[in-house]
Amino acid sequence: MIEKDILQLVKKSLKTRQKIDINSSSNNVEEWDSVGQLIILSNLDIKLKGATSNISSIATANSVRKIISILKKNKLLK
Amino acid sequence: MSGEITDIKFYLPKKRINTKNICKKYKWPYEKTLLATGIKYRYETKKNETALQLALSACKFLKSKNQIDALIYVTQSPEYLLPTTACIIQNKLNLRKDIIAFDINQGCSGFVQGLFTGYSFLKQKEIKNVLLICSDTYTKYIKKGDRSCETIFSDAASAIVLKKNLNKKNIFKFGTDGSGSKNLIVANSATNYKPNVKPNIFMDGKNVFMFTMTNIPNFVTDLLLKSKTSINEIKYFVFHQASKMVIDNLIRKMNLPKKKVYCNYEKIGNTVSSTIPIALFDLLKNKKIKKGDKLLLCGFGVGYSMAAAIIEY
Repeated sequence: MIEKDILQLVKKSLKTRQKIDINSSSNNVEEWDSVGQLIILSNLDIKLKGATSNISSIATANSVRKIISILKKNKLLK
Repeated sequence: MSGEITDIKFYLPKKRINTKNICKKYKWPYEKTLLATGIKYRYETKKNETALQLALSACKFLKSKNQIDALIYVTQSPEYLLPTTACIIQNKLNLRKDIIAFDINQGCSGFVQGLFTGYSFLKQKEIKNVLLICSDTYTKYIKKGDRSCETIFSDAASAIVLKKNLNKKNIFKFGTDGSGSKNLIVANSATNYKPNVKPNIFMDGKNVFMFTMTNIPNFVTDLLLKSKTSINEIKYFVFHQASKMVIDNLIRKMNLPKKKVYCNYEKIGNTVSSTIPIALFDLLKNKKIKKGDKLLLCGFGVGYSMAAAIIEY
């Protein structure tokens, strides 16, 4: 999985027309609300075959930058 | 263990809330909300209608009251801080006075914990029948417009009669992690009550969701291994009806056959301690289970707490 895949996953999860980039977060994407966050978490876990379930910090990652950083730290992203 | 469930009844308040109307009121996207919760309808008590009243209504079916030897009341919506609501129920139902009656303060895992407690009592020679009641009115704690809670929680009561049966095999497993206690809490309550502040419920949905995803699949798998039971041997998996997203993910993570996982959250919502007994009632009513079938029950949530059982119906 690469960074581009994360951007696509977030966009697809939130069903937003907004462009999603490294600076996208719950502060600037309208659809990134509490429900949107759950959908992102669920889709990440599906995409990474259950690997994110054991990373509790991912729950509060409310920006693309934070998600990428946590996944890289856990060697789940190239 | 030493018991079996011989009867289940439940009661829902008259007021039914359509999620579509709630979403319209607060301008929340209905389809997206439904995608996460799967809950179309919830039930809400009137202002002066309490969990005790729901509990008494659920117990209306009780015929042989004199045969009840113990009363266990599972609730997080007690009538008072003291006395124990179970004592009030004993009196209102006109149960015998030589019985033990007490409350268990647990939520989503409360039914399974109550079941374990009831079955433990049934090991005693003098206890032959236990009345287990679950009742909650979380909607009274919800701040209007709290999307995490107002689209999920529903009020209900259930009443379950447990009978001594030494031939039944029931295996339980429990878990507790109080580090998550602040993620689902009515903070301004009990001895922490502050005047002029409403005792509202707070749920950190993302952290509660992650707790479930991290813990429940292994927890259930461990119980299956401990009991040397295969998924094929289980007739139905009855999980706490937290939400669609939680149950769908548990199915995925445990690779369970979807048809073996019973779901009724869509029309009732998350009734906290009553979700599992109401699901069992539905399964019985629809003749989907029969005597001897093995069921896996699993409650999880507030606490955090986890409780699972493989029971022989």
